Amino acid sequence: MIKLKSPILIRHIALPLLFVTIVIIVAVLVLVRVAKEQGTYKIAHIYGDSSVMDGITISGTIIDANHKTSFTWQDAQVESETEVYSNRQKDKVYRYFRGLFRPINDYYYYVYNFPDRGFFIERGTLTDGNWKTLDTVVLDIPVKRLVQENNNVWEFSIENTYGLTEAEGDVYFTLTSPPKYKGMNGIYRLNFDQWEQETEPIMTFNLNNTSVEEETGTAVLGLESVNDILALILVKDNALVIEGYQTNGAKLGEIVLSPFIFEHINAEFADEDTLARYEVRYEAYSQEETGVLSLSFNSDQSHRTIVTLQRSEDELKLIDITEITKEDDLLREHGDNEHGERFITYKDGRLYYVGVFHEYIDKEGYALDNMSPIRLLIRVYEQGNIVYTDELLTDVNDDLLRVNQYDLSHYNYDRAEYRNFYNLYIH
Amino acid sequence: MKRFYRLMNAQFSEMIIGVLLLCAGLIAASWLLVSYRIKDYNIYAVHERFEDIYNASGMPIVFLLCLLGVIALFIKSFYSAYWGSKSIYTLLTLPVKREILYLSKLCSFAISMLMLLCAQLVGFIMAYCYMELKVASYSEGQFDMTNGLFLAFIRSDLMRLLWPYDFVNILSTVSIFIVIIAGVYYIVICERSQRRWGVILMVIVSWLINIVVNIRLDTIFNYDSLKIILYSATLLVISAACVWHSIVLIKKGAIA
Repeated sequence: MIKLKSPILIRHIALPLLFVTIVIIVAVLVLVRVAKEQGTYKIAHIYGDSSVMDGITISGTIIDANHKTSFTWQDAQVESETEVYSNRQKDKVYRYFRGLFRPINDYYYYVYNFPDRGFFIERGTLTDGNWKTLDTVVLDIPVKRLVQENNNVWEFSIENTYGLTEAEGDVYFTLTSPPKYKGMNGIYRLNFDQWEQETEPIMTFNLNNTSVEEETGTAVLGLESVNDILALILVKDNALVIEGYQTNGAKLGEIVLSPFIFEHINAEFADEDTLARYEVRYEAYSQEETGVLSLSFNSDQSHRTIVTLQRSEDELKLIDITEITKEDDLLREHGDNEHGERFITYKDGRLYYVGVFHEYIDKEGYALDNMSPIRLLIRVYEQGNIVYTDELLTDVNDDLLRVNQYDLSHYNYDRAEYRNFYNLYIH
Repeated sequence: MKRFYRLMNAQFSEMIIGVLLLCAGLIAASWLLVSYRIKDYNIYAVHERFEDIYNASGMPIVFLLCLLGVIALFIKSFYSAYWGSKSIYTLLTLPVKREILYLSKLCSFAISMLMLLCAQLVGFIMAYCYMELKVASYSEGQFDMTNGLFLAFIRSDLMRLLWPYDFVNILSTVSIFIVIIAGVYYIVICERSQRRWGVILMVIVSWLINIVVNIRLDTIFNYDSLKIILYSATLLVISAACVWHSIVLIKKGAIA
């Protein structure tokens, strides 16, 4: 072994080297930790008078498998705070698509329908994509199909998780159903702590569907809430009906919008080709601070109608209907309604819409739609017209470095490896 | 303290050249392997992220080999006292406590390990800077990863293992290195004192380290902070036991 020859070095070599080593390690680690907050968060003004943003704050998070940055965007200023996860998060930890396991407070909920045994509403956890049931409430809801159809034939249905919502800490449920169902439905307050007791509905309503041949009927699209008010979303004949209820079951107004045509439900009422046909999978955005509930009904990628309701002293009232059409062919919203990628609310006579838009290089789109660059835009509408647009510039698209839209060999299917926006909210 | 300082420097000077060569090799390998990996990068190429390039370049294996190299250097320096002039007898007859004799060697080993870790850190940053410069030479920012060094630190499995962010994982990394240092020293002391069952303990330690690494990388076992703390505590207890028994054996003169 080669050894040191110099007596001075032999006597003192360890301490200086230890000192240099520690200085380098500490300096590098401090630099890396400081760099945690050095991502790009800039506002790019695109269009309109910025006075419409007075008093508006947008918050959200940028998440990938390894870290999460929470940001607050107010008055052209963005503040951010980054948290590094102690371990790599797996893809399904925070992914939620409407219709699947519904996150309410600290738990996830799912509804199973077992013929002859009832509806099993399960409360559980999703860890690393694995579902674990903690509690179950079984409801015997006397709603049945008008005619028992052949099981081998596809029948249109509405995801039952649309019937779940939360108000004042309690979970409520109504059974979603297309028009070809009959019986007595209701709104149920679910008590998972005393699940062995029979759950009584806080109110009931008759579906009044009598014949599959008749063109009239009632469909239940879902149940939503804002503050302590429940909003029952129904389709009756050719109208969208939104009924407000207190948590004790007392009715708080009814809003009827007609004509309002949905695919698979009342499309036969659309005597004009120009009428939009909406998808049953609507989106709901509840702004708890102002008591505003915005329901977005999408007809296709280029058009959505946003119905905004507000909770007042004694009723749930309609305050705005805004139709939004696509502004730019090369900017598209994600088609699968990924939760948290946008938020819509209404304030002081304007509709505020913050959302993630995927950027396309041509109208045909990418080979990999999911891996197209994304932009976070705030758009403000007044009486249906866009009056303001801003963009939050971030580094999220840097993660697409290895994605070549013409070369699938480098595509990585783990979306958690790519930063994306979540939990967008307008205050 | 003065005696400990002198002894530690003397022990350390036996290994220093080899350790410095390994550190230099590790830094050079980071640069060479990463530069080889990106040799064909140009404006038309698909650009991988730095952490993926570093991983695919084979650097985790090179680091592991260097780690084994430092351990080999330590073992060689320990056994060199039994060869030729048999300086072990001189060491054992020095007018110092046997604990100081043991701790001076242990500290010199720990400093060597720390230097290797530092070299890994320097190599990682140098390789990152090299890649950044190369990409900047032919592009105008379209292949940049803003704040890329920070992202590479938190996205690379090797870096998360060696340079973790939170207390639990830092405790785990520290406990792993402490048990490696105390354990390797204990094995050679056991071997010299004819107590070969010490090897069994080290097999158990290797198995525990393997479990902890797999929990932290979330591969075979799911990540669990409590389990990591428990395993880290176990490794630290084993380290303390190794140190205690090593001192007992040296005090008895069993290693002569």
